[in-house]
Amino acid sequence: MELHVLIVDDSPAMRNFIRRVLDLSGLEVGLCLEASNGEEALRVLEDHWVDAVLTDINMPEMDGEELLRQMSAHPVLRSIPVLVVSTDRTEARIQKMLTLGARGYVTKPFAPETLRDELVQSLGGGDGSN
Amino acid sequence: MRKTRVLIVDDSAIVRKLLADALSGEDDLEVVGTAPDPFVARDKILTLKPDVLTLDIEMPRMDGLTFLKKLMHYQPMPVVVISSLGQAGCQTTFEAMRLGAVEVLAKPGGPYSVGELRMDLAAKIRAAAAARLRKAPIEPLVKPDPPPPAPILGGSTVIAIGASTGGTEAIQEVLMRLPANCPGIVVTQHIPAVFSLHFANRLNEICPMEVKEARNGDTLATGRVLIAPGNFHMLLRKSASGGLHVSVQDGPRVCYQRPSVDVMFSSVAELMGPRAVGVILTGMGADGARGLLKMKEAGARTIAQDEASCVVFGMPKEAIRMGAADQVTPLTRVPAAILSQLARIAR
Repeated sequence: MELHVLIVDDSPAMRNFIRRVLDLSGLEVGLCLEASNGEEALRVLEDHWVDAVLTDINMPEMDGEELLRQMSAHPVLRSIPVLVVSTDRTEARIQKMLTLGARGYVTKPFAPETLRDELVQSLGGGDGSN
Repeated sequence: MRKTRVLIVDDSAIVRKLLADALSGEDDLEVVGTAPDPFVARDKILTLKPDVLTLDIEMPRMDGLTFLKKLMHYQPMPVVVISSLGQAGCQTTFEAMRLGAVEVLAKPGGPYSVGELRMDLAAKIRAAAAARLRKAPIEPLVKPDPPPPAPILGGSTVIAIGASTGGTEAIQEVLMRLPANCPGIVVTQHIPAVFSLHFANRLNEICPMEVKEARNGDTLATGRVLIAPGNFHMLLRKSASGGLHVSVQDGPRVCYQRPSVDVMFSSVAELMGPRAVGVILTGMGADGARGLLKMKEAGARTIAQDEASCVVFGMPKEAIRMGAADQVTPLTRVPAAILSQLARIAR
């Protein structure tokens, strides 16, 4: 099984880094798509069947919080697991993102294993949103 | 001729093999791959480009309905649902039909033999391959407003409805919009045994009329719909008291089908003559066309679903070709057509 993912971050360097981490993680990554904000991410998700979304929170145009909100309200996209990858480590923020439907939360900077483990865990949970 | 490419999605290796073996003798069908879970299935769908999917809807890792929603969004294709006969399986199956799956087959094993599988699977896949995909309504079902009452008819009148591929959704569309005081309705839908019971119960919850899977001897009366049970023919009969009842019986398949629409329509033609309305809806094949012609020749009013609204324009096409249909109409107008034909009978 190949894993198809979408990486959403306004920093190209961070998107590259996450991509490298996934490549080296031992996971079999197929399609690895990128978007620089929530709006772009939604456009990509309209056409591409991905298994997971990794998203930053603070981004121009549409931030990660709104992306989660829109995905949760979408009949198809709401079943795609979302993993938040953010520098924000405040408890309130983490809780908020999880309440909005995020399956996991990784704070930057992160150890490569942490990202991999959180991603695998967020995939495994099945879909309770139906 | 280009073969129809089939992908089998099932978590059980045994079932994958049974399904693939059942198709091995068919010249026009080719199993291009199998997948044990939705993740592998997604990869194979994108790389192998199958025409039809058989889908086990109770799988680990990602439930089949979620997978089906995504499939219909990203890569719409005809799906034959392979389901267990359990309560949960039946419910999930009807949800899958609502999301756009076009055929259903009972999982082999248990009461459903490998011989029957061989007979039915290829036919279901051919029907699915011929299906026109609807834009799947992902939002939950909304009950329409209660329809106005039907015209009051002196004497008994019967409505007979037959359907196959795409029929579960079409029949629901029609029955939801018929009033509670409608004359008795008999329905034959090609559907496996056990699923017919769940189909009837589900309709009973959302339709103004009482809907019930028919048992032998059940009486037909105003406000009641009887659905032929899977694997049995259903015929209309006159009771000693003068009322109507159905006979549910075994017998050879007619047009490869049991229940057969032809068998039911013919019984209605013989018994009711002009005091009946016959309706033939979406479905592969020709079952029901001859029976509908018999009804028309006996003086009944007959309606066929039009091509544009059919999932498979087979049975209605054949009926129209034979001259059996008084009226050809889109699905959304079938309820109104039935009511106006009743009004004509009343005059």
